[in-house]
Amino acid sequence: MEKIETVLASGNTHATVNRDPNLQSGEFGVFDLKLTAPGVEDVEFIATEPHPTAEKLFAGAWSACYTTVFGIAASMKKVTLPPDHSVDIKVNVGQTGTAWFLGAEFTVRVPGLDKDVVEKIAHLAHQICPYSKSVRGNIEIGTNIVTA
Amino acid sequence: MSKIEQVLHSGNSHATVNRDPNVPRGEYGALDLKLSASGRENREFIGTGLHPRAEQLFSGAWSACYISAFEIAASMKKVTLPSDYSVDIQVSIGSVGAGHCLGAQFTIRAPGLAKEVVESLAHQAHQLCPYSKAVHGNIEVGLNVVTV
Repeated sequence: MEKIETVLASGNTHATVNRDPNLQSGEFGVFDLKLTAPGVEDVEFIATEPHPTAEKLFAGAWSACYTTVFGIAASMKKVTLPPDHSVDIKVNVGQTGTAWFLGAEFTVRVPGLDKDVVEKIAHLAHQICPYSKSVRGNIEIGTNIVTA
Repeated sequence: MSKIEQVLHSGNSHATVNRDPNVPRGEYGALDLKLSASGRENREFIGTGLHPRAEQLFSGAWSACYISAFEIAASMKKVTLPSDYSVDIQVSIGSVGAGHCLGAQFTIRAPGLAKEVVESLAHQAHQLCPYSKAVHGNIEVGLNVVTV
């Protein structure tokens, strides 16, 4: 597994389960991405180019899947999750020597549960989530647990 | 490596280099994603939601990065790419036994180049692209080369 030495760009996402479709989503709410890259004179990638956007897209895909799986993992362990639990994922692209690699940092917040219980659920979710499985062993993944 | 037995959803992306920022983008143009999942009563994932979106996000991130790597590979091999080359990626989520896994199908179009030249560029780009490296060995990645 390669580890990033120097982070070049990051993309963050924040995923929660929203049971009220009329709720204002705020800063982390509805993704509305215009993905053209303005201001790049001679090489503009449609829906693409600047790396932070790519990392944000990947973090968005991963958190979409992982949050679902986290709920499944909790029910498999017969743990009731509080309604305000959330998963933040930061995907970094960085450099090691002359090569580029990805890395990810998870922050799982589950108020009121024991930290070791949340860790077990987070670990089980990584075994189930197809995005986690796709990158297993190839990129470094950190996990912060917040229970307050 | 897990291989998909049965595809559940797919997300497609199409990446080209756009040298004219005023050109209309058409079907594959500026991605403008509203990612809240409306119409689901009790489980709506903010910015995330339904799996086809997640796969589309991931394929968007991957193609953004890969097409840059493809250009770098071409310049390393001193190959001049036609201006209308493109990379399409279809990311699929599927089931294998009781689990889920991802798979990807690349379609690289480089009119006028020899097929084996494009294949060798595609291969080298996978060695450079941090997204390709992140999933290397873990998911099945297919390649179609179109030279007309």
